[in-house]
Formats: sequence, structure tokens, C-alpha cells
Amino acid sequence: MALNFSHRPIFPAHLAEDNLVAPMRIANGYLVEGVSERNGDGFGRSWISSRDVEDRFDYGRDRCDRSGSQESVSNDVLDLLPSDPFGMDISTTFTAITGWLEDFQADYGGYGGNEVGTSDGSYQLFAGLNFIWNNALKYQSFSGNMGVDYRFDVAGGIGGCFGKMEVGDTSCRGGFGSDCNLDGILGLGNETPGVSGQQSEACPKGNGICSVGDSGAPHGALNFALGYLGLRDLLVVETVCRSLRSMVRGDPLLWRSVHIDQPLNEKITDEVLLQLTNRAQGSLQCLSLVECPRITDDGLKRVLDSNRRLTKLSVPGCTRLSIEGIVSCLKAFKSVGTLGVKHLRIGGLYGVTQKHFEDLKFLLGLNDNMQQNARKPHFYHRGNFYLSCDDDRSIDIEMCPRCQNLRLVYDCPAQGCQGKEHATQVCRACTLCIPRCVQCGRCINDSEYEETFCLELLCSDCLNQLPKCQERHDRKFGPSKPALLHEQSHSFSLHG
Amino acid sequence: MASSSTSVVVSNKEKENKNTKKVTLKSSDGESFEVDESVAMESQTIKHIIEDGCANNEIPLPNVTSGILSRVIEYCKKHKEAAGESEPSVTSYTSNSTTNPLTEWDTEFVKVDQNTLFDLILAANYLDIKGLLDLTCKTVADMMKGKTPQEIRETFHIKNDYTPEEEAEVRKENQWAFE
Repeated sequence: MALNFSHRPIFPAHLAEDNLVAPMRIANGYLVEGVSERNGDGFGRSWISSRDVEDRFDYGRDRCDRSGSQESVSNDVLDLLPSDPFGMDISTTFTAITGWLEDFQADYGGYGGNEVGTSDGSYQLFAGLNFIWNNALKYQSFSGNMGVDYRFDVAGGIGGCFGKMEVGDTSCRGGFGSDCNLDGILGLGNETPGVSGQQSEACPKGNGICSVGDSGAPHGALNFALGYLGLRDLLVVETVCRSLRSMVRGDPLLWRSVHIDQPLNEKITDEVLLQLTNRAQGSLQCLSLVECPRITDDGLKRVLDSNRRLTKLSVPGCTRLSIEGIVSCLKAFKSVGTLGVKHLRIGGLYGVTQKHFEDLKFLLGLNDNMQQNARKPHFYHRGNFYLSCDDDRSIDIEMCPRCQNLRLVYDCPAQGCQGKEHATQVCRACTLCIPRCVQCGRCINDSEYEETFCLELLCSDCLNQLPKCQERHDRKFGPSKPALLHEQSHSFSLHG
Repeated sequence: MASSSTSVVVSNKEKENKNTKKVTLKSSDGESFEVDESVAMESQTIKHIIEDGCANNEIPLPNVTSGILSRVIEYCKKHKEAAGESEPSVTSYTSNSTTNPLTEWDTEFVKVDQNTLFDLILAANYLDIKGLLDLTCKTVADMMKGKTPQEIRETFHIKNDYTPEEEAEVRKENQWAFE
């Protein structure tokens, strides 16, 4: 209760104007009233006494011995202070407070059980209070740092469930802090309000989960589940607790395959990439950077330099990477004599010449026959613009049958376009030669289509399947003359 | 006539006996479970023990309690049955998870309390049952996905043992991903 550790005087000189004194402080002052009456010095003395009490608490938790000594107070300031600054009826206030003190003395059980008196029994009151204060000190003194443990024990060993409990609350700030301690003192078996809230969250449905051996430490099985998380979630898990951070950072298996996609692709830089791939401790096998505009040739080279066991490299749509850089990286690999990269994805990189392509094929250990056989068709649609690492193909780009450029070439899912073998399919080309619907991947040659706000094309079927509002949206923001266009030559997004 | 029918019956019985070779698995708390060998071989660990000829009497599994072992056996039985019924090629390539009947059964299978789930992960790892390990780990991973650190702590009853400075430092290091 009355554990106001503030250095601030309870009752400053110009008290009349000050209406901000906390009730507790007033109580403090009034509590010690008894002493002053006993000493017959008036209110001022009591104020100093209480401040003395406070100072004790501030400066040393173990100075319980000075409970009774009132003699060491100075008198100069006391005379300046009014005895009843607020015109409150001191005695009734005092009665209320003594009633309150009785309550917690009863709970306390330690006190001799004497009636905390009226203004007459003020000495007893003060003694009682001191007793309480001293015992509070006792709890406070070892709970300076151990209070957490103490309360945890008190609360039935549910240690792990409290999360961030601020035990530093022993420095009671005004009324609130003291309330906290009061509860701690009184309700030894109860949790403080802040804690109990967390407890109920932490132990739902009484599964008794909190009492697992290392209460509070993450279960070992979580380690296995980490491998099924994406990068973003892994980074979140790092901030949960120390052991999870060590698990995430210290397990090379988690970093054997690094896949950067939305939304981290736009944020990742060379430094971060190096830091993350270093966690593999040289055992990186598959690196997939999908549309990462901040990754440079240098950055990629540094990663590859320290991870010679890389076998799959996928960098589609990384606009700052050059084909020369890729080729030189792979050449460096070859020269070291490692297995080398066997699967390469560079769709979306521009300026790939025939020479580059030949070099790459050589570096990948590829001959022309291997590429053609038993290949899954690659259709064009959102989320599937690029060939995945899982596909068996060594390299994703190929020569477009129509324009002879080295780009991503797509197959056509349309019924009418199926040929006997993939290679002879008429409708196989890059998207510059054969525009495709972004939804279903069908060729849009002579049919109706519409260009969306994102400069993607939608065939009429997909257009009709759109919900009405979206269609209206597209029509609103699309080109001024929508639909009913039979020509091929229109601008569209470049993927390949 | 009668003799021929009995001979047919006998041969069927022989077939049956061949197919239902059993093994006994013993849990850490001493309970024994008799299962078909083919079901038990869903576990690569048990498969190796059997193939190495060490499975004479019972196969002791000191890391698995009876409660968990019974669930694992249930999983293996179910998946063995399902694998036997449908063609392997169908299930691997074109099976859609939403229409795969096993997906529903699997979803129900992992609706257990957290401790059981964790124990299943450890058992699946020890017994080397890939499908079960994938299923249970994915379930736990889904419980973590998209959550804030505090939510993860609450879900898994993890104590935050970071000092405020440490926590701020970790957050700062990963700031690039979340700004």
C-alpha cells in the first residue's frame, strides 16, 4: 500500500494550489499522522516522517531497522507546512484508512492482531504499518531480481507462461505501483493482474501444456516444422525466443534451399542475401530468386563463391543481373572442379545471344537430345511465368521457333493447338510472337481479348468468367477502345 | 467335387497366411501391438530392422509411447489401404488435394492437442515415416504461418527469454523484411 518510493515531496510548500497529489500520498501523510500526534508536533512532522520512510525504501531495501526511529528528522521545513491543507476531516479519513489497514493486516496474519486504532492508537497503527512495510521490504528485497521466480513459484510453477513480466515493478510509481505490490503481498497465491491475463492465454483449455519439462522453452519438435516455413515466417520465428533463433540461424539444413519470392523479392539486397546464404555454411544447393530487382552480379557472385555445392540456380526476372555475369559465375564453378550448376533458370533476362546459350549449355553439361524428351508442358499464366526449379529441364529458355530469339517458350493448352509431340506443336513460341491470355495461357491470335490495367491480356472466355465488378474495373481502366480487336500487334507485358 | 472345393479353400488360406505376416511392436511403456508386416514397413526404420533379420520376437520402440504408437499404426494402416486401392500414378501426379479422400482423413487425424502433435512428429522422425512427418510438420508450420512473434509464443507457450536489447537487435536485423 503505502510504498511510495518517489523522491518527490508529498506535500510541497505551496500545497494549496496543488491538486494533483495522489490519494496514496495523502494517505501516506495521514497514515503517519499518528506519529505526529504522538510527538505532538503537528502535521509537518508527520510529513517528514513519511518522507523519511520513503527514503529508506529508496536507498536500501534492507534498512528495516529504522522503523521506529523518528528522532532523526529535521524540523525546519515542517513548520512551513499546514496541518490540513485540503480542509479534509482528518479523523474520518484516518478511520477509513485504519479500516483498510485492518483488512490487510488480517490477511497478513503476522501482526499481533491488535486493533489498529483510532487516532488514539496511532502508535500501534504506525507500528502496524511499519510491520507491513517491513515485511513488504522483505518481499521486495529478494524480489529485486528474483521476484519473477518467487512469483512464479507462488503462482504454481507455471513459469513459462508469463512472457514479459516486468518485475522491475518493485519500484512502485505512485499509487499504481504500490497496488501491484500490495496484491503481491496480500495474495501470495494469486497472480498479479498483468500476469493472470497472460496465464489464461497461455494455458488454454487446461491441457496442462505449461507443465512440460522445460516450461517456457520451445518443444524440440518445432525444429522439424521449421523446415516447412517460408523465409518470412522463419524470420518471424527468430524473434520469438533465443533457442528458436539458434535453431533458425544455426541449422544449415534449413538453408540448403533458399527461395525468395513475393513479397520479400523486392526488399532483399546483396548483403542480406549473403547473410542468409551463409547460414547454409557452404551447403547451399538450390537458390531461387524470383524477380529480385536489387540483386546485382557482384552479390550473386559472392554467394556463389562461398557455396560451391550449388546445383540449382534460378534467377528469373532479376533485372540487375546480366547474362555475362551468370555465364562467368558458372565458368568459375567449372574451373574449381565442382559438380556445378545443373539446373538454370534465367527467364526474363535480356540480351541472351546464341553464344551465351552455347556456353551455358556446355557449362550445364547439356546436349540437345536430353532437353527435348519427356518434358512437362509449360503453360503461361499468372504465377507460372517462370519454370520452377523442380522441373527436370536444365535450362528454361530456348530458341523461339518463330523469332529465333532465346526466350521462354510456352506451350498452348488450347484444344485446337495440340500436336502429336511438343516440338512439332504449331503454337509454341515466346509471348512476343504469340500473345497469350494471362489467365488460361491460350493463344490469342484471332480471337477476342482485352488488355487489363496491368497490361495483361485476357481472352474472351476468361473475361466472361470474371465477376461483373472486376470486369467493369478492367473496362474502366483498360485502353480506350476495349475488346473486339482482331489484330496481334499490341503491347503487352513481357515475360520471356 | 467336394475335394476340389476344399483344395481351393486351402489354397486361399495359404495365400492369406502369406499376406498377413505379422510383426509385434512394443512401445516404451510395455504395450505390444501386432500389425501386418506390410503396414509396419511404412516405417523405414522398422523396414530396415525386419530386412536385417533382427525382428525375431518383438521390435522394441523405446522412444514411442503406446498412445502415440497406436496412432502411428492407425495412420500407417489407413495409408497402406489407400495406396493399395488406387493406382500409384493417379495419386502422385493428378490427385487434387481437395478431392483426395485421404486429405480429409489426414486433416481429422491431426486434430489433436499440441503435445500429441509434437510427439507424433518425434515418432514419425524416429520411425522414418515420411508422409506422417510431412503431415504433422505442415500442421505445426501452418500454426506458425503469418503470425507475429507474440502470437507464436502464445500458441506454443514459449517464454520470451530475450532481454529488451536483444529483442530490439534481432528485430533490427530482420527489419529489411518487414518494413
